[in-house]
Amino acid sequence: MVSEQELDDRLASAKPVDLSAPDAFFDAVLAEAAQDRPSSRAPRKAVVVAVVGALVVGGAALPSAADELETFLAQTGWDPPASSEIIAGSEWVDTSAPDFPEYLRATFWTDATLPPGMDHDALIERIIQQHRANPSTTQEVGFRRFYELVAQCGWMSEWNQAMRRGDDNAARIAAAQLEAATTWRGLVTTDGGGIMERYRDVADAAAAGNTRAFAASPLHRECQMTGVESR
Amino acid sequence: MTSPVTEESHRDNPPPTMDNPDFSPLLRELMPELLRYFGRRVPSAEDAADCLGETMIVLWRRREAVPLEREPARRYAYGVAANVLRESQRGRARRFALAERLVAEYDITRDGVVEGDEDSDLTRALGALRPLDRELVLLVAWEGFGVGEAGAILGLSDQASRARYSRARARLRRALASPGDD
Repeated sequence: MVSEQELDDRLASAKPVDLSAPDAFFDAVLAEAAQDRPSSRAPRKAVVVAVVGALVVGGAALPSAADELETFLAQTGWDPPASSEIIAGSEWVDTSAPDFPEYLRATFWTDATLPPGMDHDALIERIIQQHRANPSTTQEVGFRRFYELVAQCGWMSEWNQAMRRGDDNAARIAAAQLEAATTWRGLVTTDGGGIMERYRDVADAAAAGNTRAFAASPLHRECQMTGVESR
Repeated sequence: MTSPVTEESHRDNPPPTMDNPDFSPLLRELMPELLRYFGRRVPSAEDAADCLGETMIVLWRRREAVPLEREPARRYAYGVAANVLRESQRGRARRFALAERLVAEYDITRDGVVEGDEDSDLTRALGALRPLDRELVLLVAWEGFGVGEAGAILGLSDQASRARYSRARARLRRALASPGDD
């Protein structure tokens, strides 16, 4: 095993040479970014759809334009000091506001892709109904976390079913999505510690075809609470 | 339909704008190091410019959430940049429409020259780490963040980032050991 010092030295030596640019370049990039042109966002969705084929893409784009910010009554503008219970940068939303449903439908975004059989609009409606039944002021990342949790459980179910029927292709697609789920930001940013390791373990088990390790995951219990049978 | 907040409702507490003396210079100051950050992780200057532009769009859109003090703003910006990079590495299409033109128009160069041979063993060892762990190690080694700061940028708790960092370094040290080393 190499020493800590040698590792530090080799990491420092491996640092690639830096990119640099004139001031005018940065000024141009900043000026362009401030315009936030929706037209620059269109290609991504097309590519994502092309890659995943028949899979449902759940709100692949970020909120579509700067002028959508602070345009709903549901957007409180509240910005409390950071704490261990607060996710920095996630806005606070009043789910009792009359336009909360419109807010969520218009601004919701996620990294997650839903498995076959799950519907983006239906899941958004479910989130709306849940928060309508128990209104609160909450952070928008919570909506994404729930959506991504349901999506992840759905892919666990998909992988399990594919393995049972011997459908290697479907199992491979599901395993790839479980791998992707380890980077979905709603899940990652709300991990208070150790949770993503569970997602990582499930992804590893699926990739390795290890049904025993997969079945032992504590995530199945969490999935049950979302109403998704993942075993 | 939606119930938009009117212009009048913003007047008492107007959001920062490009004219805000605090916000725009802060972003501008961070841009060179963010370009270097991307330049170390993506294959081309065009890709780095694209990621930088995308990061600026996100920061601009979230400008009300960006801290106005430099270090918190820097950490926030790197958090956005890490997400943009992750999407970039997942094969997203180039989104910042002017990236190629700007790179062609301005002189985007690499400072210095590569000395000696590439450390292929280290490259291979880093490549074997989980992506999140690799980025955690590199944010510390190359960008100068503390472990807790780097973990926060990646959305990890302090405890989780320290545990991951320690395990990742141990894996690297084992992977780099010569045959016969302890």
